[in-house]
Amino acid sequence: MISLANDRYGTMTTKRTDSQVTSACERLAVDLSAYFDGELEGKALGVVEQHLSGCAACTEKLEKLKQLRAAMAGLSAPASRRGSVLSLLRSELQGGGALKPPVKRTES
Amino acid sequence: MVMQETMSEPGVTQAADAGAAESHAHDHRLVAAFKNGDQAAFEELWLKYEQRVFHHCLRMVGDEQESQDLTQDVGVKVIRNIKNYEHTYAFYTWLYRITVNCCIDFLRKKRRHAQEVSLTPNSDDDGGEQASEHNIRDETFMPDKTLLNLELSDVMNRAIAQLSEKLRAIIVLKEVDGFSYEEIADILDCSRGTVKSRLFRARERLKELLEPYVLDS
Repeated sequence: MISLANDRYGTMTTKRTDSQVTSACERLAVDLSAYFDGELEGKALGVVEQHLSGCAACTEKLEKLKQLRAAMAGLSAPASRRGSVLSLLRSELQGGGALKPPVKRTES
Repeated sequence: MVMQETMSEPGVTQAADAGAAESHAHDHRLVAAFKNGDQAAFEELWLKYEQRVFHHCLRMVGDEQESQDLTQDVGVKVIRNIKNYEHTYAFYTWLYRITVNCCIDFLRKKRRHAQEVSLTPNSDDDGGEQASEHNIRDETFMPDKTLLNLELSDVMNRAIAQLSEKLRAIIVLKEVDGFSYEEIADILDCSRGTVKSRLFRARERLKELLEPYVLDS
């Protein structure tokens, strides 16, 4: 809700309350996550960008998403994997009845 | 497969798209050859994706031997079901769908087995979202326990292991495999909106689990 108040000169002004900021942040939380992934377009993108320009809390949330991404990027595949399972799959290939009989590939 | 990056340059995206299109076309040629009995075509196709399949399984189940077994299971399923693959979508979409389903089935069986031997009453099977988070809690992943000596990757792996199967699958598809929302929606056969909201929930849950350790408060 936007609260309307009279300033000292009796002029109506709009004042953003704390609950309004929080509810806007909550409303945009899912879109913020999509914005981080570069998956927002059009009006939704504009709304989030405008919100970010004035919201330190959501800017901080973006930073935490970056940290999370960096932490997951550090989960590389192990160097010592036990080798391909292809040799184990060959018996399935040779025993499979759904395929046509194997043909030799001609090298081009 | 195009790695999504925020704020990517159009030229880079176009080049990446062209490369991805050629890759898809090559996959389709290999699949067609394989369906005609060319086993070497399957081998080439498999070796192209095997490491990624293994890596996905490893991030989902957390154990190397189990991941190796699951990778083999995926390969067997590809061989047995290749006749059902239609070219209406990319081969890797179909491959990853098999991979994700294999991992989720494995995790659910593991969870049910743990429930069967547990003395704790079971909750309803709601896709694992609550059950996996409450019945197979890693007792060593507690904020008051000393985990300072663990590497970040250990903490991260433990946190991922606390996610339900659905949330785990989506965070791995995005952050480990690098798929776009559209690709993930194709793989999981769900809407883009579902991908968006489920990914948000996965991140929120991970942030909660990691807050005491890695993220600045």
